[in-house]
Amino acid sequence: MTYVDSHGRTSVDGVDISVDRGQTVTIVGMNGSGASDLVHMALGFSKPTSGKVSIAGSDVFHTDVRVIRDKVSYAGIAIHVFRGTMRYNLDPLGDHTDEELLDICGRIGLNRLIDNMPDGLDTVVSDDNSMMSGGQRLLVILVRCLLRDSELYIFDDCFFSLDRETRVKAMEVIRERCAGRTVIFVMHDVSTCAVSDEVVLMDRGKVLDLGTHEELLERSDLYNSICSVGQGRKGSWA
Amino acid sequence: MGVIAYGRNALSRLEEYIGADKVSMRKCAVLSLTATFFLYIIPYICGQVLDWMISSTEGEGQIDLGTILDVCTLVFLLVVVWYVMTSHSKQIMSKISLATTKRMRVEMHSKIMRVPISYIDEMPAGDLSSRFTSDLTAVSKLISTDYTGFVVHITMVIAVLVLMMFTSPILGLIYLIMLPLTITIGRWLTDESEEDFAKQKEAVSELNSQMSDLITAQKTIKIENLDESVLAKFGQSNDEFTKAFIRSQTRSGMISPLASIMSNSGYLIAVVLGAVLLYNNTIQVGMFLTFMIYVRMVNSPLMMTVTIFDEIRSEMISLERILDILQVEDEEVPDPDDRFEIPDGRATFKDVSFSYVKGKEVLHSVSFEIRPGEITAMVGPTASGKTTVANLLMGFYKADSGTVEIDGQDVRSLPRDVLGRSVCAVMQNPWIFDGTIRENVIYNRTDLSDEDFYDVCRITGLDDYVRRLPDGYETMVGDDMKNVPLAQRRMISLSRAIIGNPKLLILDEAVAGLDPITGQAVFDRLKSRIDGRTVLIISHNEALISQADAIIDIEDGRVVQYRASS
Repeated sequence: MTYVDSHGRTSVDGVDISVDRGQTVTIVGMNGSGASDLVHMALGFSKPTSGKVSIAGSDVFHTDVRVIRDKVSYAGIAIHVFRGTMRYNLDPLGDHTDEELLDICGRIGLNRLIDNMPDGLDTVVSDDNSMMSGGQRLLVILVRCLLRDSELYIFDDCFFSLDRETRVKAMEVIRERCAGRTVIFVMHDVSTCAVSDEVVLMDRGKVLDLGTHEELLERSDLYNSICSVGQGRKGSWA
Repeated sequence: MGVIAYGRNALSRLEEYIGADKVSMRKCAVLSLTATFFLYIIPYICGQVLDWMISSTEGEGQIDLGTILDVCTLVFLLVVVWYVMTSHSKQIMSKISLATTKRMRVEMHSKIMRVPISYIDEMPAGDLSSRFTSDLTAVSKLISTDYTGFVVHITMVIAVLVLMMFTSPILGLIYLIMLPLTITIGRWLTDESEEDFAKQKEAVSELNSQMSDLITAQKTIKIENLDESVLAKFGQSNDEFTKAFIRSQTRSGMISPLASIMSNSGYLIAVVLGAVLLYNNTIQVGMFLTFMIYVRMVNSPLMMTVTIFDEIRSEMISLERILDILQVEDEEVPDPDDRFEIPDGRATFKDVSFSYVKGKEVLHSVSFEIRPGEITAMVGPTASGKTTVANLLMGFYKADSGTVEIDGQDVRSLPRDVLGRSVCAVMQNPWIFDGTIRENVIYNRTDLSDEDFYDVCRITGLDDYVRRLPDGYETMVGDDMKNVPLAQRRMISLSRAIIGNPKLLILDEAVAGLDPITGQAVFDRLKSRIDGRTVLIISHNEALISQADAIIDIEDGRVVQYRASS
């Protein structure tokens, strides 16, 4: 699979990977490694210049795109907060009760925000007002993604503005809600690698290596240097 | 006379805004009234001549042609005077209206730069933009066409009514009694549709808001398969708009036909009564005909007044919406002043409390100092008030109590240009404008040498990214997510900030989204270039925080710990 982006840069170059149903996979790479472009193709947003992407056996570009998107939940920085109530933003289709919403928000640490809002879940929010911090905005997007019932969950570099405690909480909720489903993390750091069945290390559009966290630690220099930056100082880079 | 009262009220609101030109506008109204009087007196003269002719043929059977010629000359002169006066007044009115519209546009745009950020925060984006587009267009029309039209036509109506009274006081009185009935019915309908018009405006604004949301969130809607539900919601709002539109249009549409029925029945009554009076010799043929001409003449300006009034009513709502914005109090901004100087960007918070929304305090009596020549990290859980600290340092908002100082001077007392030069921030979601990457980095520092430019881009790691693009620094970018990845948007913004050479540099999650290797390299290069500046980083990144010279822990809007470098 090859993909040339709008700037004419070959960002994904001859990648050939498959993720089994129910697996948790982390695609890790430095900035511009092509990991994000890879999942954009899985969502049918950009068409590979050559090659094909299939989800649950159906080719993304030859199936009704809505059928595909029904099976895939995506969370990432590019997701929009709608101008609407908090309730609408967490659950646009109104599939869940308020109790369910407040329960998941409580576990991910969003309850404090909602408690502080003038009208609780009925408070109107949008991307232009200062009601939410960058981290809270991401949490709203995470909750919206997690509340959808899908076969594949993609988390595209969406933990970076969360503090460590919130991250741990978020990971717990993800593990619970996505049990038995396929999960793909796209990351710049290795924080999700240990809990993944498989790690795909990408560099300059190519798959550099593929294996478990331990296997990669053993044989890949790049993987080791991504892991070790910041260590030896206090805390990890994330 | 509800219509006139409302009209006067509306126009006085407009005149208030027009200000100094108000006097010349009133002069125009008088001028046009006089001109109209000159024009409309012609049927009266003709009627008198007709009566004179009839009475003179009854007597000697001779008509003095010289007198008729004199009358013709008089009529011709009246028409000329009417023409000159009317066109002169129209010219003045047009000039005033153009100047006023222009002033309003300029004031709207500059006002939006001066209002407190919190005011814009509270207003839905679509609402704001519809004030700038459809409302402004409506008000332009009000000033340029409808205001003048209203004044001209109402003066015509008044002139004809006065002349009617002269021609035949009895018929005139009867007609005058009919008039309030027309206006009362019109007014009743007007009041009813008033509410509909407001609802219609609201519905349009809501539709605009939804439209702008639909366009910006298009990708999200597609990813989350929300097409149908979003379209259904839009359809619902659209239906509401349609209903409001049909209601208001139906009601206001009834006004003109009703006015027409009323004036035609007025004509009918005048004809019947006139005939009776003529039969009784209370009125002469000439005056009767003149009166009938007046009844016909008053028709068109009367209808026009009612129609224009209709328009003015909806335009007045737009005017109110614009005056709403223009009346917002300006943010207090000190005048540009050379006396202010920020030598090293030392930032001090003294007992600062702050809330975006009244009653929801986000910072509680916060005090700390950020020292020059150091990198200070601000740490805390999501939504603990870190970004708010940055917003206050940049003078975007006013603290509820306490002071935010830079080098001992209250931030809010510093002129904007001084603050803009000395304090630079790279925010979580940086602003990229349409242009090349180079233009985005250089921004207003056009005097920058190539050497310095590349140097800065290397510090921020932008250079590595750009070198892989076929068009390099000439690649076009825009304020659009899919064009430039967030990490690179931050690099562009960081480069722009460093090039601005600020004394106080605030980095809000500036290296978030960068991989550890790139991020650490950027941080190392940045650290070696501090040169006595003050740097505040806001971050969750523990590795980064541990490398700062001082750490401020903030939690729930309170400073819980201050750790200076060892």
